[in-house]
Amino acid sequence: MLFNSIDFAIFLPIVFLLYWFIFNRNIKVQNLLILISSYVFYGWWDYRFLSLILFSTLVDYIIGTFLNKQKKESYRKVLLITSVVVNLGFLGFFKYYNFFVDSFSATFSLFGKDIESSSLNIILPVGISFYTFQTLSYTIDIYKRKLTPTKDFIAFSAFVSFFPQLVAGPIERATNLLPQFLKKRGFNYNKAVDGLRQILWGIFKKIVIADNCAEYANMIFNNSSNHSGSTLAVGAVFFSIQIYCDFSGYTDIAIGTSRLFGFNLKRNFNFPYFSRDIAEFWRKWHISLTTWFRDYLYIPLGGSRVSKLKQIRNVFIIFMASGLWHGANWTFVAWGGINAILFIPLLLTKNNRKNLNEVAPGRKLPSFHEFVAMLGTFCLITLTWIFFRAENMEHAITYTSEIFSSSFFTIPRYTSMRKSIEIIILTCIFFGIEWRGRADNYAIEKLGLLWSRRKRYIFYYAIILSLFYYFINEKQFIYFQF
Amino acid sequence: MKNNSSTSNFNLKKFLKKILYFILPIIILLYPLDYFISYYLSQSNEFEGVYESSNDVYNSAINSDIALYGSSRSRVHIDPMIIYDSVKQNAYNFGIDGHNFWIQHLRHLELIQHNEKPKVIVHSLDVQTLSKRDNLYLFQQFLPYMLFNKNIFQYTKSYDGFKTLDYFIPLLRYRGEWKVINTAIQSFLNKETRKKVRNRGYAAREKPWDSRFKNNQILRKKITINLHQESLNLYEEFILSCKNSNIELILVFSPEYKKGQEFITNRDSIIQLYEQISKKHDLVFIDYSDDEICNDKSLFFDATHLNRKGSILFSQKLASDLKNHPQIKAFK
Repeated sequence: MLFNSIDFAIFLPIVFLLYWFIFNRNIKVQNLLILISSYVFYGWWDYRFLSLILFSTLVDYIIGTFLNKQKKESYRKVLLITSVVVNLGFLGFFKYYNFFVDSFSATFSLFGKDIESSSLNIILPVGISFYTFQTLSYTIDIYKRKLTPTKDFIAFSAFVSFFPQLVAGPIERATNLLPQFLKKRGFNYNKAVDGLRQILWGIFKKIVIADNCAEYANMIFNNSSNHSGSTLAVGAVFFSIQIYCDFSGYTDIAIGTSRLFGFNLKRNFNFPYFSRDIAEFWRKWHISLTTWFRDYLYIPLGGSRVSKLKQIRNVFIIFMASGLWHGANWTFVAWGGINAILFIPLLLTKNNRKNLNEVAPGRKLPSFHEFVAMLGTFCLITLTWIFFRAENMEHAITYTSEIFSSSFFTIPRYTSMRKSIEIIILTCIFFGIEWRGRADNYAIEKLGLLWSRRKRYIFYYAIILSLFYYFINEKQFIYFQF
Repeated sequence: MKNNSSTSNFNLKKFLKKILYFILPIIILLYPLDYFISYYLSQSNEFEGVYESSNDVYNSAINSDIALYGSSRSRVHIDPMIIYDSVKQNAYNFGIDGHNFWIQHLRHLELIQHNEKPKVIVHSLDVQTLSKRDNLYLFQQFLPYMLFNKNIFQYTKSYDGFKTLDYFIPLLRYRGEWKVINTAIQSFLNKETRKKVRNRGYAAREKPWDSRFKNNQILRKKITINLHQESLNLYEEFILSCKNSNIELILVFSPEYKKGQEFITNRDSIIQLYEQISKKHDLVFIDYSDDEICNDKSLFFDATHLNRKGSILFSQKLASDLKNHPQIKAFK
């Protein structure tokens, strides 16, 4: 089920009313309702893959319980490895089997040895990378004795499959989310209103900005050979805006929906396009994934407390693993690699933690220096997105090289340019609102709270009207494919 | 604990009240806005006046003894006024662009539901009549009339496009249709956009011959038309219902440009099927598929559509054949 569908617009109020009016007496029954709703939500897409979630849940629940009981370190290690192998095994099979088989056979054929590759027609289960990482963190945290496993199987299952964040995150840690399933949840008026506001903003980002930018990004990327460097640069900017509004829009809806049910999810975005360098960008973009890699991969590898050479190795490992996490394509690996190359100079010159504070605090506008730094970072990030969006490496390289050709200095031309100006103006207004609310959890968290009710409602109605007017169709979120 | 619970309940009720208060104006405005857009859209002459025939159908303004059915080939080929001049009975052209019999039957149902049934139906057949497309071609033509319309729901739900709720919640089907909304607004503001462009459903095309044809001829692969079994069954039902209602059904296969005919591999077998149907049900079938008009490129604007000159010529020929055909009783 998509957040931007009519189905969800019906599903959510039904679950909300059942949750607070019918099942509100007992927390266990509420959890059971969340579990059933989550399975319905996921099964709406393809019910066959529910068995996969259930199996993954069972494996980690059982392993978590045994890990806690087991005192012998060697046995504990075996249990942890079992969990890692099972979870990554599923992920590897569904997501990477064909990629590795094809890459293997291509490597052999480079050396003149043709081996028969047997690719399978595998459907990628939606959200598998997200819930796999979520359940993995549960067993790893128990292994590290940071967490005591729960005995409540329903609560644990609801934690794994919690519908607002099941298919595209934020990737939650059991230490944050699981205890919330075990505590009585009372209805909190302010939290719910805030949740609704965040949902509205998330839907606006997705439907009005992301989906409309996608029209132009797709048009340009899909016919890149027919366009000049300047048009390709515009296409890359459209994609840059699309992916941010698509993914952070999803996260806003997920967090807002959770708040309606009394849950607090982790923050996943912190206005990343206002970053002044790449390191700051990666502290603000897809935070739940970057912190996952930091805690479970980077730090165990030694992090930055090792020799310079090992630091470089560690950075490359986490960025390329992050790239591969996104998809089974060399373009994602290259995307990760380029980000690592951009990040390493900051790390080596110890400038990677230079911009920890909010940009232009208390000021309406950034300084010239801040503005240039933000613009430069945005341009660099936009160039890396080309690899993320391209069909294959050849496409990415030709696309990028055309941008750096003399045709960059021509006037961009593409179909429906006049209509796109409308979207560009809307996007500028959108970034203006984002800039205004950059100190908050999401852009309109506090916007209009001091306005009169009438003025505030007009603002919300204007957003709803724009959703109605700019709706294209029920487009899937980009991160569903991961 | 009890206090907490009652505060929580109070807050929950307050929350729901506030939501209701917020969405109430939206709910109240849904239907009037839907009515405004639907009304002015239906008055607009956009899409070559596609709404004119539907308006006449739903406003019970048809008043015709002869109904001309078919696709765009009917719409641009047969001039009802020429038919009238010959047989002295009112005719109306219900040709519907891009659609097969499945949607043509929908129009038939709407016609007889809102108007007096015709005495004669002249059904213009083509190779695609008994196939069915996946997408709802020119879906905009259904928008003003589809709210709570059972027939439109039944006949269009199987196509890609609309969702079930689009038929039952006002305004929902207009989401994202900014071009359509702009058309409605234009129609409201500018009377010129409401000028009629069709004459009793007929609108000839002045277009010159499509110069891409020669290239297409080289590039285009031959295609085989897949017949849609449900459409075939529906057609049988339609023939029987015409018989039961004393409507005289006449089948016509209008001319296609000779060189375009070779693109369809099973064209002959489809025309044979129409012959078989006509024999089985004792219907008149006037076949112009190999008429001399087919050889004259100057009468067409593309391989399957006659231009104005061609349509006048063909309408005269058809009118004369209808009048003089020994088996047709209605015009005697």
